[in-house]
Amino acid sequence: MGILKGPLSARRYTVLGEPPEGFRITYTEALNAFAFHEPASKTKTEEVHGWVLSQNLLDNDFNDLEQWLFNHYAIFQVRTDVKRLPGNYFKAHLEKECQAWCEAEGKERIPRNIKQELKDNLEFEWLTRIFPTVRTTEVCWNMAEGYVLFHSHSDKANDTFRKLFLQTFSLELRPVNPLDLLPIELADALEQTGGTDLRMES
Amino acid sequence: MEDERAVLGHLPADFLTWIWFTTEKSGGSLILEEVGGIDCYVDDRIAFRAMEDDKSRAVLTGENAANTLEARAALAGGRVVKEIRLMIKREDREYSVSLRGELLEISGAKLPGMVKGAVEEVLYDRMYLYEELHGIVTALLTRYATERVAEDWKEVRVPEMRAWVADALASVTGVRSP
Repeated sequence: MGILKGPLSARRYTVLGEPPEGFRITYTEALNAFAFHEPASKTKTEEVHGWVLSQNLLDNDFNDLEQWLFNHYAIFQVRTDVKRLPGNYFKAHLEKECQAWCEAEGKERIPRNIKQELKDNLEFEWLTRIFPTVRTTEVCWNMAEGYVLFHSHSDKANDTFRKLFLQTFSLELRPVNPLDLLPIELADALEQTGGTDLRMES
Repeated sequence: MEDERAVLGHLPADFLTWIWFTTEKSGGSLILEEVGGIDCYVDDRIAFRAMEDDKSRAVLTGENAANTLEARAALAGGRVVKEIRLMIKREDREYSVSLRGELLEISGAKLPGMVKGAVEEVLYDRMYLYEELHGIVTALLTRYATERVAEDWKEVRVPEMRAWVADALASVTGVRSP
């Protein structure tokens, strides 16, 4: 689901500034610089973000302009990967390992440092084996009109996107406020009004 | 580029209620500047919140959700509209869309038709339709704002809207206010 198909749910932004002369080359380099890459460490649990093409989330090569620039529209995705251990399941396995250690050592309680060591080893083993959760969110930039659509209403996802956009293109994004859609005088006058109370008068 | 404006807290609720009232009063047919004639009516979802907070207090769904006793009672009792689902038709193109949140964001918009083909063709088609929908919402907002700041809003429009709420409640309960 996204900008190209399915129901559309997007936050609209005004782009503060314009693409520079020669943006095709500049932005190709920038997108490649901030493209998504799988982390070197297979046990990394922090979120990893980057740009991928809209056609396939495995494609992170922006050298072919025809894959992401269509006249005045630039379209691509933010990909976010994160590895998470399945909480209760992991805890249950760790408890079993701790019990096994106690039985082997003839101890009633496992020392904290040993338990931590077992936990670290189990985490390492599991994290190298599990796949990340992969999330993608489409972006459409209308460069002629100076607006961007980001296909998510999540504040967290939008914060991540705005930071990545700024890092990549050195352009800030401002969420479109309904007042921005009105002529200035009308917006000014509307700002002086209050809410309308339709409660029954007693 | 102008300075960033603060979000106007009461604007979404006021605007969404105005759409509901205006489309019902006009039988769903409106003529908007910049856009021309459209058909617009509240579809199958309307959500309310208390005036003081953003949590949904009542969500009504189903055919004619806006014409239910619960919907009118919510307004009459001081709840405000938080989200509304609209059906909009312009010429032969039909849109279904929710407007929600303090930014009046487009949500779950079903765009008409679907060009199948290369990414480019699909993109141009989708963006053309999105921009039409955005233009219609902007035109509705402009019309609302023009009426809202007019001198007769308090003396004429607000009593009309209160009567609209009261009449609808009365038609369902059979009780009219004195």
